[in-house]
Amino acid sequence: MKKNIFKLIIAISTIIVVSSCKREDPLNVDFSSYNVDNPVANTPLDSWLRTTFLDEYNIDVIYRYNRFFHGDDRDVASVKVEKVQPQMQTFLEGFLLPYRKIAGVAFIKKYTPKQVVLFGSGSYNPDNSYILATASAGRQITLYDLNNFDLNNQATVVGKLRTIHHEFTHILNQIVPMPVDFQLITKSTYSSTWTTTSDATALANGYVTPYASSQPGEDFAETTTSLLVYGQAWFDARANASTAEGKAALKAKEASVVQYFTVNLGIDFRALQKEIQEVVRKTYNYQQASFRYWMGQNLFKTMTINLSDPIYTTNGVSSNFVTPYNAFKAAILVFNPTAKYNLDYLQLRFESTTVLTVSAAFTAAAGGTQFLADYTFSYTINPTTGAVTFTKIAQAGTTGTYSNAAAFATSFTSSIQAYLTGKTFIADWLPSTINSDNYNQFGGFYLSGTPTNNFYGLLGQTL
Amino acid sequence: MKKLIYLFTALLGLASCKKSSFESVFADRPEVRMQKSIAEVNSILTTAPNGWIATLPSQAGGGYGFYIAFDAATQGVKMYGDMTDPTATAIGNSTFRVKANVGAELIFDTYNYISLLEDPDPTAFGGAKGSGLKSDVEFIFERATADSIVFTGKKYRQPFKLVKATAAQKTVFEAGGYKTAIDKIKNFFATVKNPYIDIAAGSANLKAGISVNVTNGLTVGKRVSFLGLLADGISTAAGTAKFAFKLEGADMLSSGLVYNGISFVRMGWKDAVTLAFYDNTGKEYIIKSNPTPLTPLSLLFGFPTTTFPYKTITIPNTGLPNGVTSAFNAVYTQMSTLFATSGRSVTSTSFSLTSNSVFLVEIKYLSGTSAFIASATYNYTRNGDVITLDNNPVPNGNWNTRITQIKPLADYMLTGPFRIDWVISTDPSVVALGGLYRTNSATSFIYGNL
Repeated sequence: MKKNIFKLIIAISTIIVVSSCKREDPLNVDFSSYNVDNPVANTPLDSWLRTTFLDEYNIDVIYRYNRFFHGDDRDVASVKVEKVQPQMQTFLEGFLLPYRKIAGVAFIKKYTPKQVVLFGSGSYNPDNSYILATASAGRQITLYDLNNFDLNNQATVVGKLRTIHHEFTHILNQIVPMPVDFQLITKSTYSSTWTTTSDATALANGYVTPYASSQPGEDFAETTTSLLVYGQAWFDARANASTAEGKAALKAKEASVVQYFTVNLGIDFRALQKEIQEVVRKTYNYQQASFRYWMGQNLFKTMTINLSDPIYTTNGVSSNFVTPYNAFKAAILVFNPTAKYNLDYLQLRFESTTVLTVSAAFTAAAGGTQFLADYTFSYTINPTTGAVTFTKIAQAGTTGTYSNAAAFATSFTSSIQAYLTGKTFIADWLPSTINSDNYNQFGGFYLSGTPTNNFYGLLGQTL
Repeated sequence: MKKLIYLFTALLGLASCKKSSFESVFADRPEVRMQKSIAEVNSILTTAPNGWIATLPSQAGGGYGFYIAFDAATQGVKMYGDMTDPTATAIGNSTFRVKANVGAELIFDTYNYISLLEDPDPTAFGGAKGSGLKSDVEFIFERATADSIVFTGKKYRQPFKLVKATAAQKTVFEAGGYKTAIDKIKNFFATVKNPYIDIAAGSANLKAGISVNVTNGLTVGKRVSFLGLLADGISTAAGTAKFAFKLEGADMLSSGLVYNGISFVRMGWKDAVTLAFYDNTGKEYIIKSNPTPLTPLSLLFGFPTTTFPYKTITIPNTGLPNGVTSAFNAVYTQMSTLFATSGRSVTSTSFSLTSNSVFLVEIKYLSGTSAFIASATYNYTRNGDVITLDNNPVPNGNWNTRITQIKPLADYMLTGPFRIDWVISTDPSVVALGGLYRTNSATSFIYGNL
């Protein structure tokens, strides 16, 4: 037995000794100098990217092709050098600067993606649709299809800006989760096969795009982006064109997005929307963000002008308009010395893209019923130039509001009608000094060539 | 025994103490060698004073040629390519870099003409959605000589070969001469009808027909094909290669154009108007022109259409093709006249094989503004290049109604059998005519467009 134990010990120690012979020396490779791949050639473009993005925001803009960023299974073309600066300029002025101004320097520097990767072509999916951009890990945005970016083509510029905001919304969601209530609004109609969903179906179900109907995360990003980049008018028009349920869903989603930004992120969403819209409207001159375009679409059906409203004190009002307005107001006041009617407001009612009713609302000094006096006009609008002309035509009726109108006809003709007719006005978002709370609510017209001669009012989308 | 075990254990113990340190078989550490390799490739590329002339076949599409100059200071690339007229005449600017991979890797890392080949967006350069022509912008360094450097595409594994350009070549490229050289070859093949080369095979002299596709189509573009009959007169040989235009002609890429055992590697100008192929031994093959296509029509005309490209001969609404003398001319004219005098007009006539046994004659004609078709089917048998129709055509109603007008043609159809062959017109603009020759009269044949 003792012998056996001894043999066993010998055997075990032999195994240990033999295995102890195996010895590996690590192959010491200094990987920090093995694969140095930091392609910066100090061209003017490189230094612009460095000072504008890397130094200021710690954003590394990677525009030189690296397969790693799109994955080995795809074929993706690199970006044209000349597309880099225009695209990144858009990134700066349409995304970074508005957030910087509204959300603050600390916010944008903290949350902005730290890597922006640019590719020239789309990244094609097996179903032949292609990816425009991706956001990952709250830190990286990859933008594809830049070779079709054209500063002279508003649609491509705004489209890319939309993509950037879309991806940044994902980044925000990756850091602060999106609201649960948003995900429930149209829970029953999300479908991953969104490429087969028509725009009409998406619209009827309460989505801003077919892609939004793929899943709540994309829906949230698409909704946010539409509000920020396409603007409130686009969003409202989309909602108005939907079904009753669809419109309710879209408006509920809008409210949820605003809530998320305002409460969860502490960003004034309406101020941000204004800031981005200013860029889209003025820098990119995007037709579908213009007042003229939406007037041409007859989105805005009423424009209400009440010069007693504080908004006119804050933003000023053109004396060219004050004079006829006050003259008409005075005429109404003296019409009946007993009742002493007060002109409550003047309302331009755009019944269609050609028919306009100018409606004057007045109430007796003692209060009571508000009466209307309606004057029938025709108008033309050129949605491209914004040129608008008003023409007085025969009254559409003789009784009721038209009968009231007849009572002040003489003074109306010499004041308001004289001001409106025989001129070419330009439709625009007025006044330019409007605050963010009222940003999407006011529009007006200025005399072609004389922007100081103008009038504006509160917009309404229903008659 | 026990002693042996102790001894063995002791020896093992001693041996286990030997510490073998890592010893590299190379002089330098890996990172140093990689940096050297990168620096070497960078240096080779950027120190060629007149740039490079490069060729690259795409995996799915054809072959392409480039002029490329690399600049070290800006990591800049200047490029011409033979894809389109603009790419051959306007310089394209982009960037490159060399990084570590499986060896040094050259990357054209911003868009230039070479990127067109890999662009997955079909609006850029055609190709397939998602993969373009299947090409690379990343190339792994393979080897270099004093005047050339060779890479392999990283994903699609195509050879990317660069040869140093001369100062004279650089000047030509910069003066837009690439397009001139490309146009000269395009023009040659546009004007030379049925080009071929003679290839001696033993005592026989074989003709290999050449077709050059200068388009950028995915499956057929930028390729040269040879097709010809072998010595037995029946079996055919074929060869295809992707090619790239060069100032001096064109290069057949990869392993060249292999035809009947011969590897053709390039096309070049023997003199101002004579173009020739050269094989890998340097032997010259002058490109000549044949009046008719080299492949006998009987090998191309038949049924089914999956085997034969042609099955129909059509006389169009403009009448018989110009420049051909045949006894059939009188027959067709007579028929047309009879139709005209009856107040009708023949718009076209076709002769086609609709199956392995049915031959169809269709006469389309107008009566006023109404269109009619008179047709008759014949059973046929085929023996080599001869088609024999039976004498019992099955007419349709219109054929019977218009038999007075159709009679000259109907009678002619019974004068077979017919031999299938090409028809030559004296009018150089009239090409690709097919004919059905009466076997007992070589001057009498039905003919028309294929």
